[in-house]
Amino acid sequence: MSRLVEINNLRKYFPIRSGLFGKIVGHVKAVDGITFSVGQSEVVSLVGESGSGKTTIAKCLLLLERPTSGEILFDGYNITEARGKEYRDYRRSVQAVFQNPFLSLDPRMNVHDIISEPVKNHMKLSRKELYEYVSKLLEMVGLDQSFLEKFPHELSGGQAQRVAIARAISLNPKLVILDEPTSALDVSIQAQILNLLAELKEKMNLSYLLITHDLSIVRYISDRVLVIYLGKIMEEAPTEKIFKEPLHPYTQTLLTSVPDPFAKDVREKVILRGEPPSPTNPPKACRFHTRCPHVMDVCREEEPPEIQFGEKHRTYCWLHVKK
Amino acid sequence: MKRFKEQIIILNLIIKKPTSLASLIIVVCFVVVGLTAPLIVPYSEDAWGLTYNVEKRFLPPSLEHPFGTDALGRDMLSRVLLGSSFSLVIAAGVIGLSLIIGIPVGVAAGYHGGRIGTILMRITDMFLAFPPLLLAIVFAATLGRGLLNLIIALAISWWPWYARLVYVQTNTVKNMPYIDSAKIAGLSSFKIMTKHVIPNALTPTLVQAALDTGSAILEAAGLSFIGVGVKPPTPEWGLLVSEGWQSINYAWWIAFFPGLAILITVVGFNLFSDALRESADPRIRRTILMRLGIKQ
Repeated sequence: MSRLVEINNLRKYFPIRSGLFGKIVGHVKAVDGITFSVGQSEVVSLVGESGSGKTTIAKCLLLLERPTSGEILFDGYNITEARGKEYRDYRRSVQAVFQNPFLSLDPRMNVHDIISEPVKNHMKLSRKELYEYVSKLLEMVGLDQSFLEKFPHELSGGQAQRVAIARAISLNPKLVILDEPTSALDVSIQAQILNLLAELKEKMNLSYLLITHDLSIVRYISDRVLVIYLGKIMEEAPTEKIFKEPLHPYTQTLLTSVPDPFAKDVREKVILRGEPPSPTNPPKACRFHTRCPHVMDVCREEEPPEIQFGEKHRTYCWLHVKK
Repeated sequence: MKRFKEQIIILNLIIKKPTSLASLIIVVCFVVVGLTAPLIVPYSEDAWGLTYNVEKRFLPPSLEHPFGTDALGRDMLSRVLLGSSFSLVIAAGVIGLSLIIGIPVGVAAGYHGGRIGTILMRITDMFLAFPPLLLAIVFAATLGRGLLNLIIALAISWWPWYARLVYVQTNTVKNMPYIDSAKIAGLSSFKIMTKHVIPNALTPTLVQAALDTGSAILEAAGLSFIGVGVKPPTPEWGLLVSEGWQSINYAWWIAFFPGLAILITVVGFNLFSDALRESADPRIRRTILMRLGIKQ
């Protein structure tokens, strides 16, 4: 599987300013050294609590935020410095679907204008061609032409999300970033949207970067999972492996929070206490040591090394370091 | 027809409520009279104040002169009617000029933020620190009497309010996810501003501008009344009241009718803008529609 996007040691610190002259008094370390890649027609999930930095990673990838350091490689060039044709290529190739379609669609535009906006910007089409193109896209997401003239407030949540998806695929992208694509929807609609996304992925040979805290949809759609806590990767593994043998205590606690109707043995519930610490002043050494049920002395003193288990499974935890 | 669906709903709602309907009628009458007054006034020369007729001074209201005549024997009805044209021009001029300055300042400061935004908004704050009427008086007195100067003086004291409003709205809108979507679609900042930010940020400002029409007429009349507005013999309502109030003991009609015209117009505009605000806000609109039993 060839790599589509490679993220190397990405960091994003947001300065905290205070006082009359806006002196920088600290940083929110939203993303603190993250390395991973997304392959062609692969679905990678970023999983973590709110505030773990998942969305910031997405924003960096979408060029909505400038990374503090690190590089994002696409087609061999670093996109944070891309200009001209490379920039336009990247803009076309990476699209997004956000959590709440009613906020991500301009309330003053009708469906036709919403979907045609990126198309008009990147392709030269006549009015009639554009109309046909948009109709075809609508059909692909399971809506008919009667929706073209409608405004977002006239749509249901599921229909609006379909429109957002139609816009995201309108430029034939390579990677679509799905930022909590179903969390704002009814459970019955969630399944439909997930099926649609899975179907489009096959049809259009798309890659997805799925950002979510809902592990049940991760299991359904993704190939590989990255577990993130306070801006750092805790564990990375193929989806099956992470559900079968989670290695990091944080992953284990996340998994016990998912109800599993097919579970043969009842897993021991590990429940985390308290909120995650503030990313302004994250715990030293292992970031998880303040809440970890297996905490050891070494966890408080030294950052855990990367440990490989098999081919695609890595974790950062002292528990698995051979003595 | 579909394009005007929203406007038709708004109009329907206004017609359904008696006070709103009355305000609509007042506003329409004001605009129609304002536009046609130069053609329809019974005594055109009296209206413009070009003549005087000493024999006809201080005539009380009669069939020939329904609003009486003033100290120089001019027909008050003609002068009051033509006054609406001046009020219309002043209101449109003040609000138009204020919007022309206020919207770009607000949008630029709100969308780009940073140092330029801060500088622009601090300048705006400087203007806001003065009571608007006082500022207008100062500028009107400095610029001298005249229609254009009056409009400029009022606009100088008014634009910061619009700039502030647009700024706040722009700030809210620019952080909406649909702006991110537009960036992802690859639109330039200019296009995002004109196609997404301005249309979504402008509604409250335009409603405010409509709401301010009454105040613009009132303030212009106020400035003319204290003698820093238009020059006599312009038949501006404030000036007419000021010309009439010295003789109010024995010729009440000279000050009364222009005053009544100001009162009705300002109340009409204020009620109309309330009605507009109610029916243009989709959330309020839905509840009204449900109360009236109309299906959207």
